Amino acid sequence: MKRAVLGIGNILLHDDGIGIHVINELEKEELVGVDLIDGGTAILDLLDIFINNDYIIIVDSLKGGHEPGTIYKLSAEDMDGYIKGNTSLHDVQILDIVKQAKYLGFCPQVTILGIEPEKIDYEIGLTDRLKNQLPQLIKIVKDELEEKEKCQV
Amino acid sequence: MGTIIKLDPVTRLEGHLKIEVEIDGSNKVVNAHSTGNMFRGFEKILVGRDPRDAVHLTQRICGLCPVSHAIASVKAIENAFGFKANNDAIVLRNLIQGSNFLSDHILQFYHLSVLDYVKGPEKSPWVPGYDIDMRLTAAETQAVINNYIKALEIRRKAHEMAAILSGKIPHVMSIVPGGVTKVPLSTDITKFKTYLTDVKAFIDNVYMNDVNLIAEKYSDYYSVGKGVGNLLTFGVFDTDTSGNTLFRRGTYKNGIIGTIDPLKVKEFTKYSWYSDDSGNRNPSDGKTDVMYAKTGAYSYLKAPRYDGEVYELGPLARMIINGEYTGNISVMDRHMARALETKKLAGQMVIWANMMTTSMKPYTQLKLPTSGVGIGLTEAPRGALGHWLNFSSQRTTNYQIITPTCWNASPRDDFGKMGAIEQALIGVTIADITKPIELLRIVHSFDPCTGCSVHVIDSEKNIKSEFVVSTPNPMGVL
Repeated sequence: MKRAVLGIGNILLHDDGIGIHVINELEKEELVGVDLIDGGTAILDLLDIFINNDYIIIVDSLKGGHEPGTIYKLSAEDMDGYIKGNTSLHDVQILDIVKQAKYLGFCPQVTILGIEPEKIDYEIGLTDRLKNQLPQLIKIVKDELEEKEKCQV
Repeated sequence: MGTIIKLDPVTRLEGHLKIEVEIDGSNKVVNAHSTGNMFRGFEKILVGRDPRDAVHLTQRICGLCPVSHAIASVKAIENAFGFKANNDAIVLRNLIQGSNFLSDHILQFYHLSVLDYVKGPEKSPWVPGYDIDMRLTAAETQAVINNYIKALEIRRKAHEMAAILSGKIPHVMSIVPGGVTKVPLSTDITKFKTYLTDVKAFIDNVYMNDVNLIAEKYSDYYSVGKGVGNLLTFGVFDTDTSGNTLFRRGTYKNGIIGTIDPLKVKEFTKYSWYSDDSGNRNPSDGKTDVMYAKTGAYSYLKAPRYDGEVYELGPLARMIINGEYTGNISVMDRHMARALETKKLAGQMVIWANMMTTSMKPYTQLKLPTSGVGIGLTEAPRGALGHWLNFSSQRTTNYQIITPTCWNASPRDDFGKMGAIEQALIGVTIADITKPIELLRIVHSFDPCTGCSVHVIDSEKNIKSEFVVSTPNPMGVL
């Protein structure tokens, strides 16, 4: 099973960059057989990630109405229920890219690990609150990857 | 006052743009306002940093044209250093930037514009859309929708091409001051050429056919959405080390091609949410002080002007100024020129791809001077892009960026002249004011992108607690 972790967001916008910070941290570790992708904000260009992998963890900031720093875990299908129908005609969102992959006949399993941002503003780096949660978020990403690996055996 | 129609946001474009028009008794647009309602303050982040950081940081501004920002930035820095990249670097940069152009033009046509003319299937992501004035037969519609899906795969290949030469996707790592750090391996060259062959075949045989089909069915759109009639391009794709480019730099006004003096670029802010002191400045001395709710202002975009005049940017500007397109200026001319440019560029890229070798020497080590001033002018797929840099004591003191959408979607300037898109909307008659598809067609033909911003996933309602896997410890201790 081909696995990937896809971080998305903008490192120039404070907590919006959390996904990228997670990728940067994971790159320091020896993860075997996992593609680590810094997707930035190039959402429209990420289609191949969903075509080339069977299992993808998306790490992103997610406004879900809980306290900043709260970590959510949802499947793409779960997440779909929380997004207004047909957002694709407005801002292009990552879930639309998952749908595009489906039209091409690729249906990878997608897990979204989202973290509630505290501040999104013009600044490089995370707020202290999210910085404190970063190790926990990374641990959850690694646990997920490990679980998937076990399932294969 | 007549009836007001609002498109907020304009759908199917990256970012957030609001268009508001006023129509008269016969549904003809008599007034228009274009509003960019996201503040873009990235430039301030660069102040105080090593000027070379700008190459990687400015790419993060936009998810659609990171490569063009990298090129503009690297040109500004090299200009300040008094350095010119060598021919090997030029070839590799052109191939990386060219791949981005091919991908982006195909995106613009199939995934952002086609649904203005072709009725998609009754399911997401094709609904909702305006389903009026659809003129293709059922068979033609099916064929175009099949190509819509095929185009996704082709864009993926074009994207791979850029990735092969840039080291990392989607933000390119190999373009740096001094040249390009990646020398292609023979497998890279083979792979690149294979992808290019597929992409080029799609452009020549599929994209061109579909554009021709739509242009034929909607030939009346050759006289809709002309607008200001002035065109401008900074030129793109260096062909030698003395500044010549595949698409040459220039202006087009009253049928005459003119040259460009970058000092004549000025941004105005009378109708923008910035202090008056931020306006009437050349970007080399630019200023961006936000002043939301300023009386009379209606946009976060400034109004860039050349020699005090409004100009339209984009593939049509490049193609006309280059003498490659002999049509007029309209909605359909923009689509046609974009397609013909894609075809020309893909052909040229075959020539550049054949110049790649494993013994290229595209990189020269540069030493950072103490201070400098530089301008980097290039083109993004949707039009002219400029970066202006000042630094002293090896730290950036001012950085200003003018994106093409800033010009095209700009509000009125200090002289009251409307921006290019605003002017293009004037005079069009809307058949059904509850489905103003004519407005969408005009706006989309400019390929606007204001997506230079946030990508947080925003849920419509609170997420149920069952999906919460960790809550923050208030002490900040794990």
